[in-house]
Amino acid sequence: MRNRLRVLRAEREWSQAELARRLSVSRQTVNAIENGRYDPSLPLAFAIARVFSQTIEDVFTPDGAATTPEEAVDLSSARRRRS
Amino acid sequence: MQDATADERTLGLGGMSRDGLLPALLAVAGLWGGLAVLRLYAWHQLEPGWGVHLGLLLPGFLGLVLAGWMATRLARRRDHPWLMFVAVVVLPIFQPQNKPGVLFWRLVGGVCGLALVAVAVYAFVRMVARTDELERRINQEALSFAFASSLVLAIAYSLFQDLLPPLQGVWVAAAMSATWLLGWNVSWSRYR
Repeated sequence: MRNRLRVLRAEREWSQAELARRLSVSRQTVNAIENGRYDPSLPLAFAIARVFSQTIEDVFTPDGAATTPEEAVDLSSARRRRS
Repeated sequence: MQDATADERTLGLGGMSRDGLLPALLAVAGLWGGLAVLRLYAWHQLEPGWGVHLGLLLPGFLGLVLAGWMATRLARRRDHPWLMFVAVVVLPIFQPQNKPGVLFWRLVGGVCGLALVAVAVYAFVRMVARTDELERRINQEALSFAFASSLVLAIAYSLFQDLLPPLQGVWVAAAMSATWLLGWNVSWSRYR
């Protein structure tokens, strides 16, 4: 699972500790999610999205899924070529 | 907020916080020293003419108070890996001694030890219940590692039982705690 946590956090100039405090988790948890080492549970993912006033899809993207329209075109053409 | 600072200050291996080292060592020293002195006192009870000797009783109880204070500090900092370290080092103290002793004192020692274990288990469960989901997962992975490695060790021991010295229960408990600690450090490093 990929995510935009680092970008969203940087936009708001929040430290990992600040975000951790807002989410009531440890800083290590925020760090692990940001670096893609840990996929949060659904309740925590919702909480993260709520903290940034975004939807879950805006924050998290499954591996192999497109994040931009250009990526979506690339992915679909690659799939077509494979089939 | 204290947890965030404990997060930052970690030793080289795993997530053991540097600030927890001194309280953990003091807790171990207090328990080892206090119990050793109190045991000495209990054995001397057999000797005729021995009364209540504050010279032995007081340092013994002071050692236990120091250990309790330091363990509480670790628990309040939610430094449960260091508490597990204390358990690993301290558990062998409770190995039965083949020295003469009064039944009453053995009973007192056993009940005190049991009370200590009950408090430790309660504090540990409370601490784990308060952790966030990643910390809980790390604990679960550590527990799985401890269970699997203890099982392998137990099978290995049973295969060579005739060649090895008889196993004491406290060593089994210490080995299980040690494998939990090892599993916790390995799991913590994975999510670092």
